[in-house]
Amino acid sequence: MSKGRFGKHGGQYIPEVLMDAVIELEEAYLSLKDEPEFREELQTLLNTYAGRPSPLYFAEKMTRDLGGAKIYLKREDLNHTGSHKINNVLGQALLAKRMGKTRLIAETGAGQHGVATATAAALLDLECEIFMGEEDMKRQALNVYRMRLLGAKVTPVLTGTRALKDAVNQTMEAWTQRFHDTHYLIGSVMGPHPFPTMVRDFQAVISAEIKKQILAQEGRLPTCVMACVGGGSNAIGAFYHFIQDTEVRLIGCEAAGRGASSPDTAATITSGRLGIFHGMKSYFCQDEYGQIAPVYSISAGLDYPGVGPEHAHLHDMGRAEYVSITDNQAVEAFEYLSRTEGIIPAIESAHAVAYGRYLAPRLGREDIIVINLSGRGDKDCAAIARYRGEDVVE
Amino acid sequence: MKVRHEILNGKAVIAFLACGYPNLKTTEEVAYALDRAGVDLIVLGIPFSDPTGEGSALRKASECALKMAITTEHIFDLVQRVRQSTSIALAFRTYANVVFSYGTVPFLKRAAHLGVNALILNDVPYEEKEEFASVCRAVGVDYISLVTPTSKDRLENIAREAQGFIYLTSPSVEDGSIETIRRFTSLPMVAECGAGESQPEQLAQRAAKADGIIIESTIMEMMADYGDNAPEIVGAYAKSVFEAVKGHSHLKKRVESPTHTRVIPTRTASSNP
Repeated sequence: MSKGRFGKHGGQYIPEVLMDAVIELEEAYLSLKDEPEFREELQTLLNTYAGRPSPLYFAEKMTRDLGGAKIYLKREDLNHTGSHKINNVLGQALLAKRMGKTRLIAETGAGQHGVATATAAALLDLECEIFMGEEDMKRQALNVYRMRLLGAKVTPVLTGTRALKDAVNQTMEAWTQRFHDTHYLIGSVMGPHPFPTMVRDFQAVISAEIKKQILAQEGRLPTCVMACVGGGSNAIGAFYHFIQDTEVRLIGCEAAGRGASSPDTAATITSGRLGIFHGMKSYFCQDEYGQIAPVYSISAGLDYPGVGPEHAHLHDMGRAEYVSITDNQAVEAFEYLSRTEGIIPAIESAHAVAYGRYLAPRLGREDIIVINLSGRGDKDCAAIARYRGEDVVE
Repeated sequence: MKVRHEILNGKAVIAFLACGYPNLKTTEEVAYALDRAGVDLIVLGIPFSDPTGEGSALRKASECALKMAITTEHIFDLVQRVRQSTSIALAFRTYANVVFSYGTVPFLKRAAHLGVNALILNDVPYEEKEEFASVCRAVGVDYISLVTPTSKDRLENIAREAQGFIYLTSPSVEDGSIETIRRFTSLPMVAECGAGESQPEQLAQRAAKADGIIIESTIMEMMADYGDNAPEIVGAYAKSVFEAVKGHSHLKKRVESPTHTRVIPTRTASSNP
């Protein structure tokens, strides 16, 4: 029987050769996830190593400037390694270790997930190989260096668009060739079951904290929670504990690139359609014959032609809204937050900030917006400078 | 059950062709050459933008075909032409999204109408097969199940529900698994030959353990190396494999004739719903 469904989405569409590995993973995850010792070990690492809980910061200047809803920023950018990726990575790396695996492999787009995986591998004495599109290696040269510094092998991916999608293909292929000692540490809520569920569970700490923090600071739930969506791990993490609170609007911000109706886009829910790829049924940017489209976004982390199956389901049910943000809007938001609050967001997270800028003045002063600031933007400074026509030497 | 023990007339030789590599014309001519060489079934690969787990040769072939803007429609047209001149058994092999995106029902109706006998999906394991296999059953196309060395506890279910034949992937599935599969199905098992397994004698030994073989990588290499001359070269190679494999067979009931016995009996369009 098919497992891991979110409505019609999800499932396990993978080559037969990998089924044994995902079954083994699912069994290990189910037996460990509620084991007190495992949970405590993970929580201790999250608190003492990753720096959780991350603050929920009231962005007073931004709120005043936009003149509408109160804006709070969930500061995932303050986590160790600079993004929300570490939440999932520590969970899966501990799990892999418990399963007796000695090697981690992972794909990376912007490099944030690769850096987080290399970090966990260093900490837990695991061998590590990261697959990264050659184009992304150019866009995110600093993160390539960080991964190597942490002891990981970084393998350039030279196929297809040489970006995140191709890195996933190659990591999946590497996993089919070696899984007895290797765990594929998927970085988003995508891929075959159990990954979308498992990664969501590890990221759900974000919304658990937001809920507690906003109730302590405001005594009520937020009007809306927004986050950027590539595969969708930070967004599902920020949404999860609010899904049952139907009065809270959940808003995912996709990367429209040069425009959601242009071919240079990665806005999957806006411009894609139902398909089967990378182990799951979900929405994908594709042509009329089901060939996966070569997507584009200024943000390497959102430059992905699919979206996690749970988001596809939340969209179908109308429980979450998905909007698209262009490169230009994201870059403006990147500069705006830096200037206004002294916080340089990751260009990925800037997509959510951009929608916050749009929505806040349209809501009342009694409303509350929580923006999940999924990562910090140091890695993006050189690329944004280039976008603005300045040549910055890193 | 559409496929039975016709295969016991001799070991089956199955050939894989990546459609549109190096171009559709060559694919078509190689298909005729394979038919003349006595091959029992041709597996036609429909290109996909993102093949996984099939190696770099297949990826290169897919990229080449898609660069020439070859679509599923072009491949249906190819099958239609091939069907006009030969009754050789044909299968499609591709990825789930190619079929799903076309519409699983329209795709399989069209395939059945054109006389395609079987479907192989690389990224659909036993657990997800029903959404495709149920449509296959309705239109009379065999949904082929793959078995790998890691299928383990799932072998029984895979074998029990299999149709057509069992596809043993390379690297080779152990003898123990083959015996397990035998306990649950009488369907023939064919073994995919990996890179490095190209000599006819080698292939004949491989075939001896199962009910036949699938040759892929050697043909891919020949397509890459010989371009327009590929039909002749591939045809000669397939013939030598065919002779070696059949020569090894204990049951030499096969009568050589232009309309040799097939692994999968060809149906005509009129027999389809």
